[in-house]
Amino acid sequence: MKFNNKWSRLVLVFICLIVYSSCEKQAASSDKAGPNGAGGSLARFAIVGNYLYIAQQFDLTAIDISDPSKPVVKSVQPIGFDIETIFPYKNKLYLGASTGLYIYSIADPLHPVKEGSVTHFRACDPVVSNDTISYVTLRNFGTTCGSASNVLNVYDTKDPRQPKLVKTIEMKSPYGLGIRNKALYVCEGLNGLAVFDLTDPYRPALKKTISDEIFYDVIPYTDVLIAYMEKGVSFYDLTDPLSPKLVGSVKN
Amino acid sequence: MLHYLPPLPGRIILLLLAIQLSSCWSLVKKPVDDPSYNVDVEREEAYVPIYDSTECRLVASHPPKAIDKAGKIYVLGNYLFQVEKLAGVHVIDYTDRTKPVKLGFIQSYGCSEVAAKGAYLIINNLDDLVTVDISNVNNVREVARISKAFLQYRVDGYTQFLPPPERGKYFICPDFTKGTVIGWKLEKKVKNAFCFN
Repeated sequence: MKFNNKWSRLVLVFICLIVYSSCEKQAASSDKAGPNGAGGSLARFAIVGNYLYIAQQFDLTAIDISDPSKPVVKSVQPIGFDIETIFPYKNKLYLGASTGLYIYSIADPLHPVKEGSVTHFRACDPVVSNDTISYVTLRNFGTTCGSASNVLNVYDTKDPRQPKLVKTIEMKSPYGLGIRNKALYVCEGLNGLAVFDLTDPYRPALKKTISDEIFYDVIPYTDVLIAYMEKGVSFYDLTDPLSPKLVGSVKN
Repeated sequence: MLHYLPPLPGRIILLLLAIQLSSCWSLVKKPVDDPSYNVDVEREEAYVPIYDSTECRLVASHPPKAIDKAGKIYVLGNYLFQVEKLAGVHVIDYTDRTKPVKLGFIQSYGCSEVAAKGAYLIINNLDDLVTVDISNVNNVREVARISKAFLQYRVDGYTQFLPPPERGKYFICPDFTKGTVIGWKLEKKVKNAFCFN
């Protein structure tokens, strides 16, 4: 009896380990190319593994979509006020609200847990992140946004419980943004697409501005940068991430 | 500004208020300075919208169409999905990224969000969350719908709607969850007519 018990425990531990490691794998690959999709930084929807997260005005909703034809709402939790965007990275969700940046852990995918937050002046604020840094744009125009300045904020989020503002860069009319390796792309609406060099990730250096279109958001995906523009979409080759080259587009 | 959420009952009231107001926000000139602005006011005469609701909860395939009001994007493999604001989703194949091709258009009234997993597209259809099987883009099928998944559904930005035919009259602010405004009728003794043309 005792032996059996021990055995079953051991098996259980093994199963847990296997399940855990496969989850880790899935989470890790979700931000890479391949079978996983990706949204822009302005999105309210984010898919991580088998879960869809929705950033609503007040709430974060987790929906099980292991079978997308049978979605099941698993949790809804209040977050704050005017949640506008959601950006998934590894096992975290970075939520942009008009009042600040919120970081949630999805180590338990069905029950996101708040790790930390930082407040800023009321503004529209998409966010993108990597392991240690979050980049947030704030803009002070548009119909639903408040009265902050037009800036790119750099937050040290190494310790997600205590995000720290480390740098503020003046922008003209910032919208969505994206990161690829050492490049940061910031859409500037009528003022084009700003490309920053992240050699020093805490001090993005403006490398160039592509100003032939009206840019709203970008998705760096495999070796291509997909841009959402006023007139449709454009595809840029990212062989050199700091010099996106236009290769094709769909307009009208 | 609110920096906290009130307890549950208060929160529900807040939500209801948001829903109540959201259908008018940013769409119309609301006479907020009008002292008669309260729910009980009854206007002698006001315009009432006539809705066509047949199309507004329908998700269906259409041939490719022009991108008019470009919206958010989502990428999955060689497919790119772009929202046509408040109307649906363009499906684009960019296998050859120098010549991306529009494969079709998926109608979804009130659409603003899109995501994709496998052969499925997950979108909003007004305030409903809908899963669409897109394995055949020319004949997509709605396979799941969570009604009223978005409690705080708000039409983002300015939406054009057919205005009442006459200026200087109050009218009932269109409720886009009821469908498209296809006309107006002038009625007597109308309540809830807070919009003004």
